[in-house]
Formats: sequence, structure tokens, C-alpha cells
Amino acid sequence: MTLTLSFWNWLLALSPVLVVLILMLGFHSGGGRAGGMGWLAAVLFSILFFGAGFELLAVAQIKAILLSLDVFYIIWMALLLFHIADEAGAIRMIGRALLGLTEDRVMQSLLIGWLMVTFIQGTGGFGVPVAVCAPMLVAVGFSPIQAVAMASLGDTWAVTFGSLGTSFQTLIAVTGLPASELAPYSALLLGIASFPSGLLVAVIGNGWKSLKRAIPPVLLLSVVMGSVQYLLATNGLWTLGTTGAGLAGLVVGFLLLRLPAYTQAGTGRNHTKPLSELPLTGDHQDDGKSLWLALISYVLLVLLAFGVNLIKPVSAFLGQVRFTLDFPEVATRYGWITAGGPGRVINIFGHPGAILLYTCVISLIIYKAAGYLQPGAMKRIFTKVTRSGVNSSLGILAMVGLASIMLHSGMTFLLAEGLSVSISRDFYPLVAPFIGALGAFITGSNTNSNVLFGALQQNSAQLLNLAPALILAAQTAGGSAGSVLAPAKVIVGCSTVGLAGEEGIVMRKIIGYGMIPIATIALAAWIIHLIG
Amino acid sequence: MPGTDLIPPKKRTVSLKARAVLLLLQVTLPLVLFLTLKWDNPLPATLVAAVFVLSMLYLVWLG
Repeated sequence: MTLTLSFWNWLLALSPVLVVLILMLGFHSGGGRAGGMGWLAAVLFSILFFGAGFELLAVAQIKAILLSLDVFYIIWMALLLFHIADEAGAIRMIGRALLGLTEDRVMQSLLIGWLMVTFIQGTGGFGVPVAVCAPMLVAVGFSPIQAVAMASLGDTWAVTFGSLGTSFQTLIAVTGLPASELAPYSALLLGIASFPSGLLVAVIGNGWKSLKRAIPPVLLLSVVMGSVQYLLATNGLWTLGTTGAGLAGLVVGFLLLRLPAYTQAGTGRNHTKPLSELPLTGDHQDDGKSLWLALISYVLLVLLAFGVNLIKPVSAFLGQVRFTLDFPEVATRYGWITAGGPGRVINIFGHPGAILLYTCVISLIIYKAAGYLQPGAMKRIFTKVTRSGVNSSLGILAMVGLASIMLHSGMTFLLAEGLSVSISRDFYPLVAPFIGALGAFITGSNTNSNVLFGALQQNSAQLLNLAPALILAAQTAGGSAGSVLAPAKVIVGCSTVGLAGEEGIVMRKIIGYGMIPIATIALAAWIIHLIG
Repeated sequence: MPGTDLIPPKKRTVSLKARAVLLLLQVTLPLVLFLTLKWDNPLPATLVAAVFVLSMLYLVWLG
């Protein structure tokens, strides 16, 4: 039992989310401030209107910390790996290699704004793909606004299984459903979304006239990347879903460049600068380095992740040390009960974060031995990781706390109940991706959207007798597409191409285009539901 | 390379150290709370919870 469903009670349950929404959209607050205010609102309203007591709030917050630690493990290690590779010159060298391969504007757009973005999202995430690829696009002659828009929209489909699957891991954690149930629909919907994502990159970079030229390579590449992601995700390797898809996309993209049709200049409307004039090629700090050795960290990551996940004795050995806490049953004054039992279990040495840590250590040793790290590299890596990690972690912690309190006090259930009675069963799959996108747009994170709305969507699906796995897949796929449209991420992208303070122009450009992948996901989820 | 500098210049003015300490506090306090909840005396748990709420207010102030 919880409070009786009425419009005012429903509005009260929604209030903490509204606080976050108003602060972020109306007052342009960051995730930390908005999340903190939302958390305070959740505490206050849960006590005043939903009958939460001290013990319930304490249990909810401690569980939230366990969940946050699980996510932080990946976030911090992913950031560490990215900055180690960046210091070794891997990111610059990949960019240079891509630029020298083709004069075709459509293929340049796709290689950097879609395939490269996808690959970096695989391990980098948190705004890193746009921040890295937007300057590369500017370097080959696209305008800064085009560059941020292309890199952002190229990322729409790749977020859920990116960053070593942080968002997907969170969805598993908050819903309690196994990866084997969630992965097939999630990978399918995201794979479908990759097609409009690639087309939008080509269109923004080269105009609608380039659409015809872009369709064949985009279709081929989206089928390849979508299939690889599906196979990885449904075979227990969801942590490598986006990395594998990005790698496969790059390999097939390079093979396409062997065809004369995609090597020479196409019909793009931008002037192509000579390679010698590009900023990336004017940089000589990576002269004499081997591209393959620079890429060793990503090769190691793939090998270790595959090894740990596929070799059972290794997986069993590393899975021996686990951390969790045992919680008592708690209830609100209105009788909303949360069962007792262990919280989130963290597998210390077999966790995706641990795999990243092993990769970081081995990569560091190799790069040091090869002389790829300049003096002061360790300090720079530490500073960059801390700066990005602390800021994102504070926001996530507040949002996770907010979501956990709402869940334990019955607010999330009331919201779900309200949605399920106001939206008919047959149309809910059409709405679910937009709820996910809204959460990600508000919080700037697919992960946070899954934390905020994962349980809500699950409850709605159960109340409407819909397949929870499909609705949750629609939630996270919508969250993936919505997260790249978030003001927080657009600000990061703009800051790297000299557009600081002009984010509004970019936002106006990408919001409309960004609705296309979300609508595609909604339509696909609806059709799957109708087919049954 | 400019592409790897992820934090907009305006936000650098906020102390990273203060944020790092705050994060550490917000992670450890609930774990301490878990221990104090098992004690008969409710005062330590109340104090820890109060400090956590203050830390959240500080986060709101920091932005």
C-alpha cells in the first residue's frame, strides 16, 4: 500500500524530479546543484507526505551509496584509461590516420562524427567522444556548430553500452532484472537507432543533398555495428557492446575506403583543407610513434574483457571477493514495504571497473617502457581524471540518492501507477523512450535517467501487463539518445571548439534533429509490442 | 590537444579540492551511518545523518 492515487499525490511524488527539471532547464544549474536540491526535496516530501521515517531514509541512502560505488568503479577507471591513452598520443594518432584516408566529405563525416565517436564512447563516455571528435571535425573544415551537432548526434545510439556499459549496469542494478533479459531488446532498439544517427551526421555535415550518397554506407555500417553490439550484449559481453561495435564499424569503414567511390571527393558543400594545413597534422609530438603500439590500451581492454568474461575459471577466481551490506525491512507509515536483504553486490576483482584497472596498469607499463609518456604525464592524467570524475560523481551520487528515496517511500510506484492509468497499454511503448530521453536530458546522463526512471518504467510495465524487458529497453535506448541533447553535454562539446557561451545555437540545431532517433526507437518499440 | 580538456573554463573557478573532499564525505558518511544504526544509542546515527544533510546543502551551494 501507499498513498491513494490522486492528481495532487501524483504531483507531490513528481516534485523532486520537477525540482531537478526546473533547476537544470530553467536556471541552467549543474547536475550537482540540481541533484542536491532534488535530493533535499525527496527527503522533505517523503517525510511530510509519504510517511518515511529515519530508518527508511538511512537504508535508502546507504543502498544508494552501494549502487553509486558500483557505477563509480567503472566511471573512474574508464576516465583513467582514456587519459592514459590520450597522453600516449593514441587519440591524436587515430584522428590523423582517419583524416589521411579519404577526400570524400560524407565518409569523413561518418568516420569521425559517427564511427570514431562510437568507438570512443565505448570506453570514454561522459562527454569525451564529442569533446575529442568535434575539434577533429573542425580541423577537416566543418564549422564548429556543425562539428558539435555531428559528434553529438553520432553518439545518440552508443551511450547505453558505452563507457563499459555503465548505463546498462545501472539499469540491471535498479530493476533487478538480469542482463540476459534486458540485453536483447536494448541492443535491438539501439541498433535500429544507429541508422538515423549515421544519416543525421552526414546530413548536418553535407546538407540534405548528401542523403542519397550517405544511405548505402550508413545502412551497411549500421547493420554491421548493430549486429556486433547485439551479439556482444546478448552473450554476456555487454560491457564491450559499443567498443566492439565501434571497432567493427571502423574496420568496415576502412574497407569501404578501398572502393574508389568512397576515396575521392564527393558532393559535400565544405571546402576540404589540404592535410598539411590541418591542426592535427601540424603537431609533431607523436612523430616516430607506432599507431598500433599507441592503440595497445584498447587492444588490451578488449582481450582482458573477453578473457575475464569468457574463461570460466578466470571469472570464478576473480569473483571470489565480493562486497555488500545486509539491510533490514523498512516501511512507511502508510504501509509501503521494502523487503530486507543484501544491497548491490560489488565483485571487487571481476567487476568491469577492475578489468579497466588491469588494462590501465599494463598500458602504463608498456607506454612508459616505449617512451610514449612525456614528463609530467602522470600528474596531468591524475588532474584530468580527478576533475572529470569528481564533478560527474557528485551529480550521480545525489541523483542516485534521490531515486533511492523515491523508490523506498513509494513515490516511484505512485508515479508509475499514475502513468499506467493515464496512458493506454497499447501506446505506452511509444511513450517509454521519451520518458527515458527526458530523464537523460534533465540529468545529462543515460545512467542517471535509468536510476530515476528505471524502477518507474518497470512498475508501469508490470501494472499494464507489458513486457518489462521491452519497456526498460525503450527507457535506456531513449535515455541514450536524450543524453547527448542535454545542456550539460552540449556545453562540454562547445567548450572544445570555441563556442563557449553560444550553446543555445547548437541546442536549437540538435534538439529537432535529435527527436528523429528517439522517434525511431519509439516506433520500433511499438511495432515489437504489437508483433508480440 | 584541445579536445581532451573537458571542463569549461568558467567552472574551473570552483575548488576541485572542496568537491573532492565533499565526494569523499558523501561516500563514507552513509557507510558510517550503517554501522551506527546497529548501536543502541541513536545519537551517533542522528549526528552522522545531520552531517550528511549539511554536506548535501554544501553541494547545492557549490553548484
